[in-house]
Amino acid sequence: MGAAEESEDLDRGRAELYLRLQVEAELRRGLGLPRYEPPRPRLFPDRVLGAVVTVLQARRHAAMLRRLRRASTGSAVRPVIRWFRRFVAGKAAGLGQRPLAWLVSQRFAWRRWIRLRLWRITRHRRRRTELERTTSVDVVVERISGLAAAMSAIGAISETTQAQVLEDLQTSLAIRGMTDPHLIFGQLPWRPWAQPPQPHTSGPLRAIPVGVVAETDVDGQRGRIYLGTLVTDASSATLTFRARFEQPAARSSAAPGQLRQVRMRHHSMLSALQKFAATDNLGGSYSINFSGGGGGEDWRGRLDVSPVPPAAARWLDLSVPDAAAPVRIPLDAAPPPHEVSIRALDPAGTADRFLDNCIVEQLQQIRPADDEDAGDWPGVFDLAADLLAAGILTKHSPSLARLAAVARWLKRRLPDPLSGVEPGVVPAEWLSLLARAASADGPAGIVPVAAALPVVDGAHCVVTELESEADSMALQVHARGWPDPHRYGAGRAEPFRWSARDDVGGWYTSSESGWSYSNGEADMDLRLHPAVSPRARELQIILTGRTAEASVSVPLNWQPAPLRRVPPR
Amino acid sequence: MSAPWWAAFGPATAEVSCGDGMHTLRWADGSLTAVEHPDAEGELVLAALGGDATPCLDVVRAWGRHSDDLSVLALGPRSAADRLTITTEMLDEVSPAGGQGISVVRSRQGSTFVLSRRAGGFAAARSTPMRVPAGRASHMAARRAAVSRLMSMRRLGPDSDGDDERATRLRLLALGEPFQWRLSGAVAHAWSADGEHAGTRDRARPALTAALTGRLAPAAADWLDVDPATVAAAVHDGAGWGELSVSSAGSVRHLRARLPVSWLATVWAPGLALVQGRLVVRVLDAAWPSARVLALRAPGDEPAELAVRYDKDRWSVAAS
Repeated sequence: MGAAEESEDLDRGRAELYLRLQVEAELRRGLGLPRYEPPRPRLFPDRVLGAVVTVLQARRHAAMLRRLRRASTGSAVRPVIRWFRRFVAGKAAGLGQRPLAWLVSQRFAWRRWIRLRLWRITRHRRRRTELERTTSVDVVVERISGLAAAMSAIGAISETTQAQVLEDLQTSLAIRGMTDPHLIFGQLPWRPWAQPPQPHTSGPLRAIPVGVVAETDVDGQRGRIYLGTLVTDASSATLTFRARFEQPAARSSAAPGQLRQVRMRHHSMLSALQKFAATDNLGGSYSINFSGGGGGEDWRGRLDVSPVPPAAARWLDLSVPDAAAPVRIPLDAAPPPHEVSIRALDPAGTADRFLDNCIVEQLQQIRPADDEDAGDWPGVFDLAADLLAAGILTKHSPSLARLAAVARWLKRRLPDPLSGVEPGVVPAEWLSLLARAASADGPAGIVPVAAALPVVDGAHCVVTELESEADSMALQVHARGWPDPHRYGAGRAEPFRWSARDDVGGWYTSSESGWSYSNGEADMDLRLHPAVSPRARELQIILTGRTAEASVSVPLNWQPAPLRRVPPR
Repeated sequence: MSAPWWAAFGPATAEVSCGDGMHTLRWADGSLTAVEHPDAEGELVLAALGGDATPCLDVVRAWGRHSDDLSVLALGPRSAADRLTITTEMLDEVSPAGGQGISVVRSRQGSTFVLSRRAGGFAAARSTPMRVPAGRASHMAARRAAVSRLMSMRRLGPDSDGDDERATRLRLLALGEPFQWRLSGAVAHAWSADGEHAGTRDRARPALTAALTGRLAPAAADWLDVDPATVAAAVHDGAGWGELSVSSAGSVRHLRARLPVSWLATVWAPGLALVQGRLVVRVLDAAWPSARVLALRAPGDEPAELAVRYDKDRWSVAAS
């Protein structure tokens, strides 16, 4: 039973019924929509069709010319026509050697012109109808999938119900001709084809600070790599890896006859980064496997060390391609003494926390220059109204009061179902977020964190680095037991939320900047907003799940960024 | 004793390409039978032991397996105006089974049913009661045990997943409109107070309530000229036919109804929901093409007994 199954305070039957009734209503509305029309199949490839059309046109032109000749045979005006033909031929030479048949065919060009215009008009109408139909159906699917994902994230319905309802909706639309029937068996975003993340069972994670920078030359590209944190447990050892190269790494050159798709997927850097190897102080040797990605100058990911170094090993010497000497990775370094804590959350507040997150997501899009119009506020209002109607929230829910307060502050009118909600107070944290929204006075540097957080809802995370720039802050996280980022698809509703709080009253929210994921193991690049205050001396990094919240307090001892731009040779 | 749930349904047939010829599938009296396969259970045993699968019997087994499948109610038609346009040609094109190893089934309504016969494609959880000639019933008893044992073993393989079940369900719906309504009726009956899932239907209450609302709404809209969105239905568990009331908020009328799930099986599915301006709330007795029903002329009225008759593709009040 997952965390979602544990929210017993919610009336799950009422929530599921509300969702299903919304589907019924949308299907009824869908009956009035235009039907889906599959693209007309082409009998022949374009080139064959073009050749056939050219031949037919040439034959038609030749026939027109023959008719003209026959009409002139025996006529008294024959010499005149001969002269005319010579004249036309001369003109044709002057017109770029156009054949006489082409000139004659211009007599009939107006018919072609009209046919072309008619075809364009009908094509435009077809496309407009298709666009209207697609948009309407997409709106239906998007709304229902968003609501289902929210209910599932809150724990008001199970993930099984979420997947079942959405699959039935998509199938119902397809078998009624409202959408492409290929969607029935396609990889629908909400289909739980991805297995739930396996809980982390290999013992506690250890985070060992490494913080080593090395110059390298990978596949002819000069650059600098940064090895941040070694994450180990009983069955694995992983080094966080970042690299910046002097020039954008080029894709591999195409071999003759190689398929284009293969060329697009393969990047020479991916194979070049497999050239690392390591030995330990006991004489053991290790293979190193890079997984991750990048593009251009920047690459990031992790180096998996195999086998796991024994407990007696004190260091690893990592041989870096074209580096002067191996890079030494300490295995017995003590983790930094960061203060780590965890607290249980009130399950009754899951829905409030979810809606608060939605509000904050919209708030962080507001910039002073945006005139407070940024953000999908109608979407949040509709979601809140749905959660209220489904019995997941009540008119006295604190999150609704905060939403009403934000709406009043933004001078936006709440929809009728929310009109009875009494506005509360906009939290000071949210105001601090807005106050520093456009700030660009953040320090430049990096803090090697190397802190393992306690397990939250089955996910075990290690915060590896914190990097600050003038206008933003980035957080690097390695996680085990993490849900597949694809799992939530179109109706995505994250079960986890990252945020931070500094020691001068500033609050920071996160957005995803990049990730790599495999079988429950994730490396995440999170962007924290706004830029960190230059007065801040400590930052509490917080991971909030459905049932618990873990945090680590990190002193902000900024070090120079290790991956500064590589000067040209 | 009240009439069985299927008493107001007429028979329906579909033709199936099976072996070298076209065979007939016949739905009557609540069950689907393969007319050309009288020794159906024997053939099922042979198929389970490695013999050739029989498309006719695969359809029959699939029908039995999905006769309590709530997804059928989620996918199936809500009203006569709600037509499913999926054809088996489309399914053949889009399903993972592709066009390999298929048999074609053609129903009387002209739609085509393509049945996957790939390994593991039709796993069965239980078999549908088959019609066996009376004289052979005794020596079939031993086989029946073997069949049920074999049928309970779900075939393993990469295809035994959700896609297969979804494809099978859709292929049953693609048999044609008469079969869609009959399968919906069978599912509703399985979850009604007299059905096999009566004891566990609380967990399915949201799905059943939505199915009831989705089907009552169009009928009520035609009956009272109200917006279908203003119709709210709930499952009635007690005795009697249920209750129905109309309230007004300004110019908008709201219809609230409590009806048993059996209303879907016995009234809605045979097309009896609305008969000449009357909402039928219960079937008292039926022997297709005739039935005695309780019907409301207007909300608030006491339901009146009515004799109805199926004629020219519709039910109408029988001349007294």
